[in-house]
Amino acid sequence: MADFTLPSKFDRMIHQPVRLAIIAVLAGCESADFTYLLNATEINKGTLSKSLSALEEVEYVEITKGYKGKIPNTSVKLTVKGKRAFTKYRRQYRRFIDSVGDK
Amino acid sequence: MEKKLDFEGLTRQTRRLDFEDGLTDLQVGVVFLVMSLAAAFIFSTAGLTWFTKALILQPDITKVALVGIFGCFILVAFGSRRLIARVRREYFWKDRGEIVPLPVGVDRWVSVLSVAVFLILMLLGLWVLLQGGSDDEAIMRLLVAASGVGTGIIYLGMGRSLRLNRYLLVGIIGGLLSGVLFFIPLTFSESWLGLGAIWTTVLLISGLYALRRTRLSMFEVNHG
Repeated sequence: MADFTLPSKFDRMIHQPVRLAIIAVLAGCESADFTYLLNATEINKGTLSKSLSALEEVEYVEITKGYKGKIPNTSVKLTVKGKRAFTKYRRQYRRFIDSVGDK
Repeated sequence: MEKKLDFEGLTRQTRRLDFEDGLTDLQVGVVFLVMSLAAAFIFSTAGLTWFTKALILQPDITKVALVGIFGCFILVAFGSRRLIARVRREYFWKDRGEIVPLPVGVDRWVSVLSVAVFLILMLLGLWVLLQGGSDDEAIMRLLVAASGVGTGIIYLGMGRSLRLNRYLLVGIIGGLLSGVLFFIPLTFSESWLGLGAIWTTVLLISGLYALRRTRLSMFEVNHG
């Protein structure tokens, strides 16, 4: 089996369930607000905030804080770097699943 | 987060949001109606005569008017997206949070396949025409029918990748009916009307059905 199919080659920032769920949701839209991410991923507020900060630190997501009317609103979107990383991860993941299936 | 993470499903579920409530279908249906009416008029004898006269008598005003009409069309298309976003924010997405949908909801392979089928049909039509097997009107009708079939393929592809059964039906019915247009002896202008009638009807039915389902599920959530 080739090396690239090993999980150790996966991007560690993405290959973690909470962060993967966030990135997977963001990959399906241009941007999502904090409430949508909470509902879609079923993560609690604290973990979501922490994970978003970690993803922002490596420039995988861009967080914009603002207002919608008088209500505070946090909008999150995948950066180009984040999109590339997720595309690469998906490719590696599929190869890995295929290689496991071949065994 | 304890259950197995289906990350592909999460992406799909988010992408599907833009099509689930049927508002996008209604918007595209109206766009089809306006476009087909405009094309039917422009390619009719009366439309062509009017347009030629206008260009000869008032060339500048006609050009400005054309740009204006095109601009209005673009404004209406973007305006309706904003209206849809507002309706969703006020009613459908009030509690679940908001997303901004992807600008292009169609996978690249679907667009490529749709264009390829369109081109193959057109080349086939040209070949039959060159062989003397059909008349000029038929090749013009084929242009309209192939556009409809291509649109059907786009909806089929979207239905498949988003796992939205409604779009599979929309693609099959719309695509097949558009193909039938080729076999009916219509003028070019009439076939545009036919295409508009088919797609507007199919998309309005699909949109209203989805809208009703969304409202019913919201009612169930609110009233137990």
